[in-house]
Amino acid sequence: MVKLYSICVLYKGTESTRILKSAYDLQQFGYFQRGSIQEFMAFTSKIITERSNPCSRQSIKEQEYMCHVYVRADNLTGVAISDHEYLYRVAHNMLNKVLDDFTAKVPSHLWPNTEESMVPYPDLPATLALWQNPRDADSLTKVQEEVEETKIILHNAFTAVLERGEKLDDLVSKSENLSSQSKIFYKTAKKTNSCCSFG
Amino acid sequence: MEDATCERIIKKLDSLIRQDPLMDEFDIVFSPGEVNRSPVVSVEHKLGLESWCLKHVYAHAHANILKTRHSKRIQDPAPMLRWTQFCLLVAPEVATFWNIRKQLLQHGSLSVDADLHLTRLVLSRKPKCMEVFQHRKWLFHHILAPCPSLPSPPCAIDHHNGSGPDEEPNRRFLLGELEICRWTADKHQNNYHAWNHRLWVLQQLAERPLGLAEVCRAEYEACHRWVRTHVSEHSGLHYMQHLLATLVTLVAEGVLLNLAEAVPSATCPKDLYCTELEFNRNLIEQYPGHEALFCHRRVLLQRLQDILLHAAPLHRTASPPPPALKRSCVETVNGEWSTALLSERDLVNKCLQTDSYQKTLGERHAHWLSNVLAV
Repeated sequence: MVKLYSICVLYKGTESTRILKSAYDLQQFGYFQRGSIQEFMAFTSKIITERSNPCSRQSIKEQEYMCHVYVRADNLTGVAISDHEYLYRVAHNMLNKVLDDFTAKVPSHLWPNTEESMVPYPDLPATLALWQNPRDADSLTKVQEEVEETKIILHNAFTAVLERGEKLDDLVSKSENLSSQSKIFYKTAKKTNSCCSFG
Repeated sequence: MEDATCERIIKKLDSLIRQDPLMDEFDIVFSPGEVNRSPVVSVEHKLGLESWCLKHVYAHAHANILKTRHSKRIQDPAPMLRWTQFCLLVAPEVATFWNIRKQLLQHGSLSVDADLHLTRLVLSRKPKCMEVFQHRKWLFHHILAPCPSLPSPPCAIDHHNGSGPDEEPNRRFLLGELEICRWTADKHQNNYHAWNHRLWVLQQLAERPLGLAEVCRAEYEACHRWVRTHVSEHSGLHYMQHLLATLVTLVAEGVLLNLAEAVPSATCPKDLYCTELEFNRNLIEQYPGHEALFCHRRVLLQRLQDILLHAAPLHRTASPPPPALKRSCVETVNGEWSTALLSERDLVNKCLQTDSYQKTLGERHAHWLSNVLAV
C-alpha cells in the first residue's frame, strides 16, 4: 500500500519537545482503536524528534510503518508516518514543503510555548490528503530543489534511534501522554493477529 | 462469573445489534476491567465489547451451544442464535457455529438479513476471515438466489427466485459485495480472501448481462486506482489479470458488444494489454523494488505473445478468436512483437543501472525473458 498516516510539526526545545500541529488519516483502523493509534503516532513522533540532532534527516522502519523525520537547524521538526511503500524521498520532499509553509504562516516566537489548538495553521489535513497520491503532489514540487537522497539516513528498526539502554517498552509504560487504555492496547496488539486468539 | 451475568451480556449485545441496522463496526476494546459496569459499549453505530468479560462469556456460550446441539430438536432457536452470534463475533473462524446458523436459516428460524448484518460486523473486525466470505457466498447460493434445479428451502423469500425481473435484488446484492471486497481489502494488507471473493462476485455478475458493461468499466477503473496505491500486493494484481481475461472472453462470446464498452481506450485485446504494459511500466519505474509488479508484467507479456504470435483465444474458452486477430493482421504482428520485446530490453537496461533490489529484479526479468519467451 502507498499510504500516509500522519504528519506532525514539532518544536524541539531545549527542555521539552512539543507538537505544534498534527494531522492523521486513520480511517482504515477500527473505530475503537483509532484513539490509541493516534496517541501512539504522536508519542512516536515526539520520541523520535527528541532523539534526532538538528539538521538531520532520517527514515526509520518499525513493523509495517516507516517514520520520516527532519529536524531543521532552527529546531522546527517535521515527522511523517507512512507505510513501507511510500517513497522516503517523496516523504522528505513533503516535509520540506510543510516546514517552509509553516514558517511562512506561523511566526517563530510562537513556536516554543503555544498549545496545539492555538497555532494558526489549519492547512495540515489538506496537505495530508494531497500527498496520499504522491504522483500528483510530487510533480508539484519537481520544480523546486529536491532533497538529495544521500542525505537521508535509513534505519531498519526503532531501537537504532533509542539511546543506549533505553527500551521502547519502558518508554511506553513511563509516558504520561498515553492513556491506560493505549498502554493495554500496546501490550495486546502484538498478539491480536494470530488467528484464534480471543482478542 | 455467573451464568445469569453472561446471559445478560449476550442479550444486551443481541438487542443492540437488532435495534440498529446501521451498526457497521464491532471490535473488542482492551480494558483492565471494572466491576459494576456493562462491558458492552455502543457509540455512533459502532459496537464494542470490553476484553475482560470475553473468556467467561465465551466459555458459557460455547458450552451451551454444544449441549443444545446434541438435543434432538431445538425447541426455541432464539438462545442458540444469540450464543452463536456471540461466539462468532469473538471467534469467526469456527465453522461449526456458522454451520449451525446455516441449519437454522434453512429451517426458517433466522432471516438472511440478520446474517448479512452479522457477517458485516465480523468483517469490520477481521477483514481477512475466510469463513465469513464463505458464509456470504452460501447465503447467496442457497437463500437469495437458489439454483432452479434445487428444491427451494422453506424460508426462501418468494421474490428472490433468481429469474426474470426479480433478478434486480440479486444484482444489487452482488454490487454490494463488490463494495465489501473494496473496504476489506483496504483494511487488511494482502487480503487474499477478499480478492478471491471478488473473483466469485465478478463471475456471478458476468452471468447477468443487464448493466454488465457499466460494471466492467467500473471494475476496470477501480482496479487501476487500487493497484496504483498497492504496488506490492499480488492478490489485487491477480484479480486484475482475471478481470482483463474476463473482458476479452466476454467480448469474444458476444456478451459485450466491444471492448470499448468497458475500456474506452482499447478497441482490441492487443490494445488492452499494451495499455496495461505501459501502466505497469510506469509503476515499476516510480516504485522501484517491488517483485509483484514484475510478476504481473510477465503474465501480461505472455498474454500479448499469445495474441500476437499464436492468434489463439485466451484461456478458459474455446470460442473463436476476437475479430482483431483474423488473418489480415498476421503479417504485421511479428513486427509488433519485436517492438514489445525491444521495450522490455530497454526496461531491463534501466533496472540494471540502479544499485538497489530493482537491479536484482531486472536481472531476473532478463533471465525470464530469455528462458520463457526465448528472446
